[in-house]
Amino acid sequence: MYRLLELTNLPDADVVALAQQGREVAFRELLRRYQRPVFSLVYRMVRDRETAEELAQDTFVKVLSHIDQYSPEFKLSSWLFKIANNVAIDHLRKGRLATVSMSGNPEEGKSFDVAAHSPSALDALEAREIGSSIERAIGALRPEYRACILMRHVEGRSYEEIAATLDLPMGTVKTYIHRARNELRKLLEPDRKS
Amino acid sequence: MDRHLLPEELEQLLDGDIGADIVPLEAHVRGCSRCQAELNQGRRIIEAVEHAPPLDPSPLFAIHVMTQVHVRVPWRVSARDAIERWAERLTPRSRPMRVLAGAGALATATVLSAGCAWLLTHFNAALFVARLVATRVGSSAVVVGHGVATTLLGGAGPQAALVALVGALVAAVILRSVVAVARRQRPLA
Repeated sequence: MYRLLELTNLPDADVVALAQQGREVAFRELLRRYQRPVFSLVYRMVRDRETAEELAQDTFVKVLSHIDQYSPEFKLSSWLFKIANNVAIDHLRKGRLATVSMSGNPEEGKSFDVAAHSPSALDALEAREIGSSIERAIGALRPEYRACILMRHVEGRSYEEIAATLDLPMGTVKTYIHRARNELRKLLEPDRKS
Repeated sequence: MDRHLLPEELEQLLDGDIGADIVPLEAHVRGCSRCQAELNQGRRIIEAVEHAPPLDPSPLFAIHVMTQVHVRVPWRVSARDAIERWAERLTPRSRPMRVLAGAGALATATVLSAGCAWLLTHFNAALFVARLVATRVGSSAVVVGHGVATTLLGGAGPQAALVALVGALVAAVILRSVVAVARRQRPLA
């Protein structure tokens, strides 16, 4: 029988093959390898720790429940990040609620803001984790730019991998990353000057 | 180059692109403090993003995931595991018993090998006996099967049983193909 330590040095494809045989220890090894990068990506996308936990769990449940459908010609990490990104983007789209003025005047419509609440321990943790200037700047980017720049410079993926993961042309990925860098430069400029 | 670098040219340098069109850009940067400053700022931003610390989920994350995942064990893996457990239980723990088990296995293998050698040297006789046994067993199976089908289903019983068997095999093959196609087409996310 396999033990968790014996799987540590196996490549992803071999661990997945064991998971497809129903070896629970292989499922745990895949979780151990990817829970941190997947959670990091989702957390930086949605900027809320509780939500990120739920969405990251959903990602793994979807992947592990359908592990028998995984094909080794694709990288497991690309599949994981693709689902994580889709889950995060779907959440962000649902979260953009708009209110409409009673008089029907479109100029009075505004975005729905959650009422301010007194800071909790979770808020303090989030402030420490994603409160730095670079994290706030990343959080201010458009979701599409954010996903690309996180995969490029945090996860170290190549342009080709990002394009395959996000189902985007490579030219679009490069454009998004270049624009993201430009926006980060502008957002961080006041900090640099001060 | 008598102008400053365009934003896309700076991005090419930040991406670490190589090629003939990069050489003049690098040459310009070496001699232009403004473009050098822009390039350095871009590099600092990339470094800041690259050094963003990894964020850990809660300690119970893996447990929460595993409670929601149903681990399916294919039947052939269960069967193999059962055989391995059974073989493990039968394997003697002490050295003297393992020696005795090994001797017994060797004796059995020797007898079987001798039997196979005898069969090979007396091939015609072995073939005759095998054909005789097969004919007798086959005839008995047909007689018993015919009797059972006639008793259960009447005069047309054997034919009906044959048709039902063929029909069941065809249905099983079709169902397996449909399930395989449906699984491949199911969306993941």
